[in-house]
Amino acid sequence: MKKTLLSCKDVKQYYPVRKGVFGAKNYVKAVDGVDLEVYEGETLGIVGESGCGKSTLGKTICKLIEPTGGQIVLDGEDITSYGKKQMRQVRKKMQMVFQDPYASLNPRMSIRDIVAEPIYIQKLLKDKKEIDDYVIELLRKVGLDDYHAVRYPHEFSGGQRQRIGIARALAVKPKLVIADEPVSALDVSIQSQVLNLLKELQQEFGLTYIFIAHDLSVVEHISDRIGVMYLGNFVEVADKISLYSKPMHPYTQALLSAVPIPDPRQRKKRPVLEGNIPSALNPPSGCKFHTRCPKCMEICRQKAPQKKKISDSHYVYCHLYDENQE
Amino acid sequence: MAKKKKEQMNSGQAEIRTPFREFVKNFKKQKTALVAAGFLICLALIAIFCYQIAPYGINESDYNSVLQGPSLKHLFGTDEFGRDIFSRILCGTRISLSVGLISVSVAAIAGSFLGLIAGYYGGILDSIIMRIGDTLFAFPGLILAIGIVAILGPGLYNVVIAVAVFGIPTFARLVRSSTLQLKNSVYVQAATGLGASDARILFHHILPGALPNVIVQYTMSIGRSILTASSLSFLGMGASPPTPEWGLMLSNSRNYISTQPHMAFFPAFVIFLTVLFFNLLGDGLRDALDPKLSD
Repeated sequence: MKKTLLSCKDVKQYYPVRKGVFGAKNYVKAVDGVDLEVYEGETLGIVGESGCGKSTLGKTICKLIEPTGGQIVLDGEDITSYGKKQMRQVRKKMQMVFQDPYASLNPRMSIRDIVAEPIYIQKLLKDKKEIDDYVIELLRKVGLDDYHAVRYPHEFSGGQRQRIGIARALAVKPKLVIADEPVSALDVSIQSQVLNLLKELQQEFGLTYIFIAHDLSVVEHISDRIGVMYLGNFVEVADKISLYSKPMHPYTQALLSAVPIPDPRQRKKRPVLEGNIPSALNPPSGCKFHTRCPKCMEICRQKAPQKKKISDSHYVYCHLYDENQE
Repeated sequence: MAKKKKEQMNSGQAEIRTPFREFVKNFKKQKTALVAAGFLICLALIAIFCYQIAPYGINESDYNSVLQGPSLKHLFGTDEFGRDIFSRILCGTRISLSVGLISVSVAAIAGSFLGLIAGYYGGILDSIIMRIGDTLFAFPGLILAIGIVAILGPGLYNVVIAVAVFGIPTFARLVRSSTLQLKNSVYVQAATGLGASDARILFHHILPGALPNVIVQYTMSIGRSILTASSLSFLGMGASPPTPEWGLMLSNSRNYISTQPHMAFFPAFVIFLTVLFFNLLGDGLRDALDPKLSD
């Protein structure tokens, strides 16, 4: 039986918005009741278009933003209500790699200081020489050289900076790494290098990843299971093979059909979605996807679909599968 | 051991472009600022050794040569008691520079601290600090300083306090705006994600980011605070005679301005030069620090 490392129940992240000083208070429902389980040693990919709340979900799990509601359990420990001090201990188990490698490193700190910062904060090592050695070991692990330690971030390329960000995240020997679009700011040749590095490190340290991305081929490459998000909720969660071979949700089908195929002669009929993603301020009633769904039914407008089990590792949130599936 | 490690780490390339070296490189291109810096260094040396290099004592009266114009014997002439104006100006450097440095340092430290807190924690604390700052801002600087000196009583120490107090809101505002900006930066988020304490985030990540602005403001403020201190002394609220304070010397020369203009000219000119060069240095620093750290 797979061991659950992280489980989220009904996690919500609402941002209050007020029109004018006395206007009514409204909420942007960036993440709206997400249930999620991550098993030890796996890579869970989260995909979705811009603004669907995938980054917000990552930051909420990491408690960089306080969740509005719900429950986050990491390694059997309910961290939902933890304060700053208690979180410091938890952060040893959970680290984040950020999207923009240019903004995530302090330009006024040397690489040594950046990578050593978690060691100082978590008080892992005391001796200065030990720290130096450990930093160099980490830099080597992520494919950088010893002499890079005394340099500053502006002297590095995007890919190298992302490696530094990864080294910093690994310094505390975390179990779970939340990678928030770690490769989308890099060009394609560098993307694959960083992805392979992440895979190697996963094997070596037995890491669990939550891998957030909007690029389906990247997610396919790295993930074991994939969750597709739309407007603050998952619409489908499945293992990689079954999701790519048999997508159930109309949104997933549309997403997958949009992946370019490297063959100019191949023409296939594909569902094209109309319109834009609706505002999270006033999400549609019922199933949030019904405004753009090619297979929209009456019930979709009224009732939000429940989680439906297709197989042991395939779940979908859609009314289409209410009756015809057992 | 540590040195050896450094060399080993550094073996890949000769030069490391630390932020400081980048700054030095940029600053060297600012010719005016270099001149200003040179002048101010001389001024600092004069301030330290003024009593050794001054040809006459500051209170040494020569009643045979009262109110004389510039000559080889008295480079800047003499005043109504026959005191050598050149010597008095040299020794006044120490007073003016220390008034400027101390008052602005106090203002910078207190202001930066308040600005950090206001910007980082926000809410009521922010409102209280910034509204008090706004209240101080509402007064013209000199009027405020006069007001404070009027409450505390005249004297050089009180001038320092007054100048410091009216400098605090400027620094607080400056640092607050940088803090607001940096607070949401990804690298501060990353530090939060590592479990960094507030103090660590404030002093390791946010303050160094705000520092370039503070340095520029600091240099500019020194010029202005020397001017304010001199103005207060001129108005009879600062240094008392026979202190060789520039503003005070200027004030004493008023009665003789039509007959002995040199008495007013030299102290005024030195004030002018000092303030000018501090401002030029500040301009140069801003240009050297402003292109940010090249990304």
